Amino acid sequence: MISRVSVEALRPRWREFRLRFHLLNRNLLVRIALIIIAVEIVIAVVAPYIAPHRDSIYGIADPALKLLPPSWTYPFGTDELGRDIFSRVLYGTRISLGAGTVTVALSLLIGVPLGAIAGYRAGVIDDVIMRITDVFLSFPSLLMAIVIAAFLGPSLRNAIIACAISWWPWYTRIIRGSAISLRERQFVRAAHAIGTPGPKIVAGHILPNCIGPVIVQASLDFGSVVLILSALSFLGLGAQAPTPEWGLMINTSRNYFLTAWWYIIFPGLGIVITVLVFNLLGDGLREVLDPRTRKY
Amino acid sequence: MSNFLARRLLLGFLVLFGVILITFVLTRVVPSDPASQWVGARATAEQKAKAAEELGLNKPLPVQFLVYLNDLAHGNLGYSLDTHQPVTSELVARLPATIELVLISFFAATLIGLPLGVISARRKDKWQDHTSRIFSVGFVSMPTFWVALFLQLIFYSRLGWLPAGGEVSTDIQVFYTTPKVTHFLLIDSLIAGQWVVFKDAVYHIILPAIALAAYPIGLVARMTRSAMLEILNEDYITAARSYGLPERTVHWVYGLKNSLGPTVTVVTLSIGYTLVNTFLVEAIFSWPGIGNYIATAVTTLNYPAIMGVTIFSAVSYIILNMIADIIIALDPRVRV
Repeated sequence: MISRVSVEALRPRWREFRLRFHLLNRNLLVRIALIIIAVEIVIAVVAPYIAPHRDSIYGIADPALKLLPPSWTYPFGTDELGRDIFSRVLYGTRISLGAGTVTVALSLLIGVPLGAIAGYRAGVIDDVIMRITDVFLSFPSLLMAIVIAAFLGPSLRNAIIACAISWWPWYTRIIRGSAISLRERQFVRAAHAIGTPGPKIVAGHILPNCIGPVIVQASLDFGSVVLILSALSFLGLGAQAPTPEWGLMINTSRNYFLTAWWYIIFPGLGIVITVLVFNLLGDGLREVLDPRTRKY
Repeated sequence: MSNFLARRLLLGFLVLFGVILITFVLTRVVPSDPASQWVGARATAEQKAKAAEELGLNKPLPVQFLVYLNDLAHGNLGYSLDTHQPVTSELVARLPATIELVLISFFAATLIGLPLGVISARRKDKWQDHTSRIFSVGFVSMPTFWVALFLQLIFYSRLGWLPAGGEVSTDIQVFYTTPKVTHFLLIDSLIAGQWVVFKDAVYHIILPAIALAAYPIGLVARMTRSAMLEILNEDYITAARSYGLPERTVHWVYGLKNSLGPTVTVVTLSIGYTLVNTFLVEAIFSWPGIGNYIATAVTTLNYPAIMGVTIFSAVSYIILNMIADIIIALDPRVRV
């Protein structure tokens, strides 16, 4: 049951959210990016229904149809096992978007609470968490992802775990910085003075106010995560055959692409477009949320 | 300043220790058996047991860790499971090729990216800005291995202008021996006056360098643009203009100099990513560097080699980060 008090508290937040969204939309590039993201999400959801050759994903392949150039039946051509590349690229949307979401969500789940705790409760806990963060940050994230995936065994699930493990320190740092500056603000000290328990202060006061940069970073990171997951699959450490993951498709195309150009172009375009729109979205978000570059 | 240096060094060592610990733990929780890999598939049980003893796998874990640390301190990174050669010597043999490629790529990236960012900031919201922004955000969004393959497709397969891989053509390699002065083929061939070799080496390095430079170009252009935009609102820019300095000087001297700080930070952050991109590009272009080495090591699960390259990369990453921190701290406005 939502009391009158909390509804009153939510309304200005909702209004602010709508204002931000409106500002975001004013930039043409961001509008296009949002539209394309929406289209991709829709494709990811309905892919099983709109893919023209559904057995190209996990079904039996027809070697008689191998490496056909693009045509009306096979818009993106076929691969070396006779599977339709168009359907596989569509399914690849599901995998990339899904894996990317899980990775970013995992990183946020680990990094944000750690950062909030480290920032709010200074002292020993802060130092310990920051030293651990520094160690992880000093390891090139992609390299750590490769090493972890190499040792845990190649699979998409392990690639996601490896990526999340290498990515959480960034969010911890961001949140910790904001938490430290928020800790001294009047409203936080007031809450503490009346005896609000620590976790409630963190969850109710500190976290909502430092979400901004995290959202920007998470949006930009989504693109990077998709890139890294496809790089891992390219190396053979991520998704395994016959999963229609874009990076994996590019890897298998290495033997054929000099003659079968369609095999490498279309999955690559899938990656480029996905990462591009999330980068544009992150850029737009940063312009809107950063008070210095806002145009109002 | 020396206090800062000392603190950074100490932190660097701590982090290095953490990295070594992590890599060691990973080597020992490996599901496969290094002893069997060492002696090969057809060894008998006693040969495997002897190998396990030789490799020191029978001792308790802390002892193994100390042995590992001792080996590292003496520069011994273990023996490659494929060739049974010391990993260190294999790495050292392949290092110059990688450094050559990375240096040229970064040089190109700075040369192209910085002016792009400055022009973009100067002509904000005009067509130069929009084109430059689309290019830079595009370059940042392209997976490097795809760019490499794409370049191979266009320039080798369709146009036939540039070679597909390797550092130098096999026929040149057979007929000419270049004395190794610096171990960098481009410089060595120049020193020896072998123009044919030099020209060939240049042809071979163009495509890998472009593929590797794509991401940094986009990154540098974006960062320079946003840093310049922030700086152009500062007071000293207005002051410089009111003194009557030409716009060109204002932008290229005052604006660019002050925007190098954030750009260096961002480039440093991207070094980790570029490191692995180097591995991918080397694998695709058969460039004889450590990237190719680790790419094959990863596919054959050659753990000592993987660990060796990991430690080496982590060490260079930490050192480069420290250098970058020092460069950033040289700015008197940064409080150390």
